[in-house]
Amino acid sequence: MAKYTTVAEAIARVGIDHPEQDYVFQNMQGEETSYPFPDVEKATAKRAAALQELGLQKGDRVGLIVIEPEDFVLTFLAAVRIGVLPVPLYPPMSFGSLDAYVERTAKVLDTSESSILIASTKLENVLWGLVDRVPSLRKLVRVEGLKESNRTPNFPEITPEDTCFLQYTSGSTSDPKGVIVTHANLIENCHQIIVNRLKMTPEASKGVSWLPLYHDMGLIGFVLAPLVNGIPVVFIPTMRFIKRPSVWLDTIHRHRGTQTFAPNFAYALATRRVRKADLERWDLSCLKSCGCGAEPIQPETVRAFTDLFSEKCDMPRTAVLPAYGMAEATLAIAFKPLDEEMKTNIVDAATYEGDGKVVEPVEGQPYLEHVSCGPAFDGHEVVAMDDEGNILPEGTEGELCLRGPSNTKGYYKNPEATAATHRNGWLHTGDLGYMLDGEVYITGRLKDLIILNGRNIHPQSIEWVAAEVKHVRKGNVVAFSRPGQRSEELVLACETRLDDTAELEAAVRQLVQKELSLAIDHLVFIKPGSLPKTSSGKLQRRKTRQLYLNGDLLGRGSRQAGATADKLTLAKHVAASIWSRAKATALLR
Amino acid sequence: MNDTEILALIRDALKDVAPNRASEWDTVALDKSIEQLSLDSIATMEMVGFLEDKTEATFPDEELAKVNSLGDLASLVRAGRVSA
Repeated sequence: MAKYTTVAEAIARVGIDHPEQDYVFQNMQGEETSYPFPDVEKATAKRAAALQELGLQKGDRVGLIVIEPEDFVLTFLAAVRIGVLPVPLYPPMSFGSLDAYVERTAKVLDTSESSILIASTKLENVLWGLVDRVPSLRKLVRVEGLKESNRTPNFPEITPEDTCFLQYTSGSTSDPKGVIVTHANLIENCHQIIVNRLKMTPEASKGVSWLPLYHDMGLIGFVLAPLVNGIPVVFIPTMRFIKRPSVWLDTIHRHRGTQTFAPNFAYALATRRVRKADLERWDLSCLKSCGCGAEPIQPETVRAFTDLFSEKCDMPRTAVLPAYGMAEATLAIAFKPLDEEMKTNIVDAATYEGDGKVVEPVEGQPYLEHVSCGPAFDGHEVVAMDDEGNILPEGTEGELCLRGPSNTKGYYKNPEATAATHRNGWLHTGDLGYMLDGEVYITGRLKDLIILNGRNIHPQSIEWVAAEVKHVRKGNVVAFSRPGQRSEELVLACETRLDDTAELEAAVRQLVQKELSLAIDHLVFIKPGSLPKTSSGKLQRRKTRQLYLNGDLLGRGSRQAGATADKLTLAKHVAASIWSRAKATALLR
Repeated sequence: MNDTEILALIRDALKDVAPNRASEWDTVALDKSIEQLSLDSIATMEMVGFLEDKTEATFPDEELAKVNSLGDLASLVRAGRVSA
């Protein structure tokens, strides 16, 4: 039974019920500041008064683009306390086109009809123009100015059905969708995560996270869920982790952290960048779970991380915890059981790719390895459905659909998008997968979304940009992902009539980098007519990807451009499939 | 560190974060802009982390924000140690 019925109540009371527990904020130099929960209550009360002085009232939306975690968290929570809906937004990325960033930010603020934008002072130069671009926006306010207020805040009544905040999903630039997250959604989902599945307690648990706080995994997973359950957390600035990945595990070691969470690429990064001296020094026996989600999970990455850190640092082999969820289901929907090692399912590739059916692997034939994300939360259901909405039997691939109290009710002021995903009481995820022995397996994406380093990318965005380059055949570009050494990698296949494509390659790479801040891992040029299309002329991304992975795309009567390095990568993939066949043979002995 | 060594170190950093483009990095010159490298933001920060580790220095964020080319990065390395 959850202790509080709303997040607002939790913020007001957690300092009384758990006075010893705290948020610890680390800065870029590693200096740490503790905010015991009673201080969180005081600080958020002050900021709530400041927000009310700006004229904000229950139900208003306020954009939040704040870099310092402490400022972000306290301002977000302050808004929640007075029923003002925060709309957290990404700050601009260091490398990339500012125009695209401002455009998307304007769209989100406009769609949410935010009346005020609160931002870090150092972002003012980039953001000031938004006030003119967004009709509802009346002011840009510096977050640093919010701390002081002598007025007493006036806390309105807040019920579980009230909206707590709006979570804009990383949709395409033109169509951002704001998930309506209520207090009831959050209390339920957070209870499932922290209490039911991770079995965390205020006395014995401590979360450690470097995740960006404007994204649901960091915000709900590490700011809200621990708070409403009285759990202490240490926050590492995201940039600090990226520059020096060792700070993640080092912080866990020092604070005796018990829970953390990260996308697949971070586990690969941590394994790759670890130093011998740290391996000798760290004691990670405290770690109970390292959640892994938000992008495809690569079994090899998990195994390498688990093998290394269990052997050298006493991390439990059960620690890495595959997880499945999405913003539309508040945060999470299924977790690997706490005390089990990662489970995978090995299936015959041809049968799965051809018929979507799970069968045992065949000796000498390619196989696929799928990672289990465990059973759905109690009181929640996950099923695989066919195109017509029929629930499929276990072991059959379909679209994963969810039902339960964590399901959000829809997108803010977007009934069409809501109707598209919420049908007959089920939330349609757009993910492909199957159920087996009551556990969820995710195997792909219905809409070909590419996930790179935790970013959801629509292939069209990349394809359209590449198509702007002269000599790239418009409408004949396909973007998709392939499994790489550390995480998913981006492949772009472009038709062109040119024979010598060295300059074209440079031009496409540069433009994609400039417009989207994306690096292409393998850029493939092929002769016109090489890309597979349906009878009505539509490009087939999944088929293209399949041809590529089988090594058949380049062989379609075309001249392959690209450096020796690209050929080596292809050879690596061929070698990998030979290796998988060999392994399948060994498995069956 | 002399200029040749710094260039070699930067090439090593690039090979470390993007080994699949190693042959490209062997010939990359300091006039290359960061944008032209076509690395994603994580790989770029990893490169900075690699250089910081190898030189036992810390490059302040404000200085990094001004870096537009590999030459600028080389200048940071050349500027020597800032206490880590």
